[in-house]
Amino acid sequence: MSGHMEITLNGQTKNIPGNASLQALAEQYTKEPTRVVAELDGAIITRDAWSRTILKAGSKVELVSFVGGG
Amino acid sequence: MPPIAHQTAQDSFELGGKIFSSRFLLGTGKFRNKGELKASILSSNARIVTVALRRIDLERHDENILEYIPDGVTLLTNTSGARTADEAIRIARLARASGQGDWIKVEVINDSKYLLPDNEETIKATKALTAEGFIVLPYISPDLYVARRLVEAGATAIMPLGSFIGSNMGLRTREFIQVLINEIRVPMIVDAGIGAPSHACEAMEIGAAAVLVNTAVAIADNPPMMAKAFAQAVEAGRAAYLSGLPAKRPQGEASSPLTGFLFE
Repeated sequence: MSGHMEITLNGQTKNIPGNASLQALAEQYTKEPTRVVAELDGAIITRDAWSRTILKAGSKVELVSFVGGG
Repeated sequence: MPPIAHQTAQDSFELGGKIFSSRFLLGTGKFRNKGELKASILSSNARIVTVALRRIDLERHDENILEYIPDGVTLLTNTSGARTADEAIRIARLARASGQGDWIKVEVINDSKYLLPDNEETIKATKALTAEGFIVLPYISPDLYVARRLVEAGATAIMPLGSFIGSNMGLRTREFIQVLINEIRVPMIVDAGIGAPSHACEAMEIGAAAVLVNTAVAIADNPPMMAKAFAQAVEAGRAAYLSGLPAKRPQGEASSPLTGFLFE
C-alpha cells in the first residue's frame, strides 16, 4: 500500500493517496467545494489554506455544508 | 379628521442590527423539493430562514440549498444535532467559517422522544457564542429565570417553544410565553409546534415579536400557499396586538345601543 494512507472522512475510513491535500480530498467528494466547510482533527481550516494543508495517515476530516432545517 | 397612520409603516422589526419587513420566519427542512421551498420564501416574503449544517453525503452530490434562498434573506443557522453546549459551539464556528454570517439559533437537544431543549446547556452555549461575536437566538422551553440568564448572556432574541418540534399542536405554552413577553426585554420569537396560521396569529396577538414555522408549511399539500397564509396570520396578529385587544368578559355586553328601542 505504498503511496496510500487511511484517513477518516465524515466518520468513514477512506484510502487516499499519501500526501494528499485537503483541497484534493474536497474536490474528490464534492462538486461544489466552495460551499463546504472543513475541519481537520477538530480545527477549522479556512478555504485559502486547503491546498497547503497536507493530510497524514489517521487524519480526521469533516466536510460539512448547509441543508434544510428548522 | 387626521389621516390614520398606516401602522406597518412605523412597526419595524429590528433584530441584530437589521430591520426586517416581515415577522414570519421560515424553516427550510422537510420540503419535498427545493423549488417549493424557494416559492414559499417568496410567497410569504420571509426575510429570515433557518438552515442546518450536516456532513456532506460522500456517495452522491447533494443539491445546494443556498441556491434556493433568495439574495438578501438572512440565514439563521441552527445547531441541531448538538447534545451539549460544546457541540453547539462547534457547529456555530463551522457555520461562520462558511462565510454565511454569524446568526445562530442555539438548539441543544438530548431527548429524542419529545425533542425538548436542554436549557442549561443552551445558556452555556449562548454565553460562549456571544463572547465570540455571534448573533445568538437560543431555542428554549419557556422559563423566566432561563430567559433572564440568556439576556445577561447577550442573547439577541429568545425562541420559546409553543409545543413539541414538528407536533403541530399549537401554542400549548401560551401562559409561560406571555410571562416572557411581559418580563423580558429582548424579542420573543415563538418557535416549534406552530401547526396552523391561527396558532401563529395567537402568538402575535399576545405580543410575540415574530413566529418561526417549518413543518406545517413544508408538509402542506401546497407549501407556498400555506407559507403565505402563515405570513398573513402573523400580520393580522401583530396588527391586533398593536391596536389593543379588549379584555375578556364572562358575560354579554350589547354592541347595539340600549336606548331608543321601538317598543319603549
